[in-house]
Amino acid sequence: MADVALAGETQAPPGTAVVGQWARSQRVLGPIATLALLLCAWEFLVRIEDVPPALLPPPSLILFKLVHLYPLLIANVGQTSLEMLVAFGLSCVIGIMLGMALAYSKFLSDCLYPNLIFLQIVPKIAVAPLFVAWLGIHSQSRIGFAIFLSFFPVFIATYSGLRQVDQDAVRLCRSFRAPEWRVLFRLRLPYALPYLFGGMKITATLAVIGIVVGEFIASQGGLGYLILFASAQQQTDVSMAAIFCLGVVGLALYGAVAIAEYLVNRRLGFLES
Amino acid sequence: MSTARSRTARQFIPLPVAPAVGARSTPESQAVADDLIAVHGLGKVFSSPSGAVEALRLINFSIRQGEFVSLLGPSGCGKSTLLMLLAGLEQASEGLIRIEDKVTREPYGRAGIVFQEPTLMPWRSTLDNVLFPVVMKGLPTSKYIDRAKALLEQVGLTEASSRRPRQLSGGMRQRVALCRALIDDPTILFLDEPFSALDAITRDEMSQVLLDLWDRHRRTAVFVTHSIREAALLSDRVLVMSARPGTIIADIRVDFPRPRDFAITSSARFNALCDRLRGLVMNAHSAARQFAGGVDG
Repeated sequence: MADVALAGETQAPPGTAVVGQWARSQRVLGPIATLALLLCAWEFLVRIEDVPPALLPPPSLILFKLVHLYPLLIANVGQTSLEMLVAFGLSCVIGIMLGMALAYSKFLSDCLYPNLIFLQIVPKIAVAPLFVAWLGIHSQSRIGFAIFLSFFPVFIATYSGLRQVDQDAVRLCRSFRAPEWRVLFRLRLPYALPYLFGGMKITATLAVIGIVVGEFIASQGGLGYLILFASAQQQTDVSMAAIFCLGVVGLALYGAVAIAEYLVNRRLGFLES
Repeated sequence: MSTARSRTARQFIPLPVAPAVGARSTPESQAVADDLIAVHGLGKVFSSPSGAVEALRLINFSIRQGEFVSLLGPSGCGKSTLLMLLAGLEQASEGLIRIEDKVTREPYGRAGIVFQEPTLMPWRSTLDNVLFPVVMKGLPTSKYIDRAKALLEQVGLTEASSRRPRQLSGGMRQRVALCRALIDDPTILFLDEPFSALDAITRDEMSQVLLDLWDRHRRTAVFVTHSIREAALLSDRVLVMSARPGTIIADIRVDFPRPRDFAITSSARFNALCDRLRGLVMNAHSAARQFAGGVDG
């Protein structure tokens, strides 16, 4: 059985509850144990090889900085996460609106769709400095760039999700002579929701990247700024502490979307409840 | 409790039992007055990259109030297309359709539709799926809940009323779709091969369910099928269609008494009718094969 299944597809044969429990705890404990092992190896190697902390600080030193520089990190986490949330929210709104507009208007979709794809193919990072020229060095410039970088997945998910609706269901609604807005809210959007969440998860990760790149280019605060500033001063430990915080912030946003997805899917009956 | 047919004062519980279909013996003189659906010279041409395809040609027939009419034909004969035209969901290339003496070009608001697939909303419970048309028409749900429950009871789904579609079997889902089609007391039922995605045993079961529902809610129904037995069992009339371009080649009356039971399928008369229908369908099919050079839809 196991030899025909892919990794992750293996299913315990019936009657082996112990094996099932093992598989479950492996999924939780596996990544944690691997991470712990890597951190130990890192700590150990840095210490016995006497690597200078400016090159590669040991995890213990990063942890020390995390605790020691707690107020500084929190202040920067605050700025970054606020901008990230705003960028993510606006990306979703813009992506959903644009997706709806193109799904409903053949004219708009003919005119805009190929151009949006082209825009997506251009490496967007290259455009980041222009946002400083257009919007200045404050929040709006970073948020603008993050939106520009991250709206696309939500847009494409909305656009294709709204078009994936079962055609018989659409016919059914037409036979009721239901107004289109009601079809949108009662049929198309619920059908598109699983797609929409897929898009929102990718948008969440891109919004984090967008804000950090923005902070690299022009900022007087935020985790991106802190990383750049500390690296320039060879304070690699501070840099890494900031990177750790960034990871936590990004994971929190992604996790929030994933939890929302799970709850909505369960509520809508797309998942076994 | 009986005259629930008038449009203004529709009653919902108990379910209205429609009067028996008018006497069949007085023929053509009355037909015009009784015709609910009249189809004149209907044609449909689809344009495709490889050229125009004529799906339907010169279709003429009429359906009386309260008649159960089957459209029977080989697959690809355009019977589903014809149903979509009748339902106002597609536009005819030629000819016209009158419903209640009005030429229709858009969906007739008082029709219930059942498709081959149940087409239930996965996020709605059984009861909420039955109430879907009510919500979509902007009517107050509270007035229809009792009717929805009564319908579900008639098809034996009371227990399942709070379950989601994914927790139901194929036959149960299609029964929900039948209830949904009946919720707003439709004048016409359009049934597009509603049982063809089900297994043979469930199909027979569903025929009986439909027969029973029919005896309670006698409506005008147009039933598309490629099953000769289903057409013979359920209908008052069977319109046999030929393929490519689809046209009506026979109009067969079925006069088994109602209420009908599945038991008639073993009678000699029933089997004779099936044989006759089979002969007509086979002829239509082989003619179409010759016509289309062996290409079979």
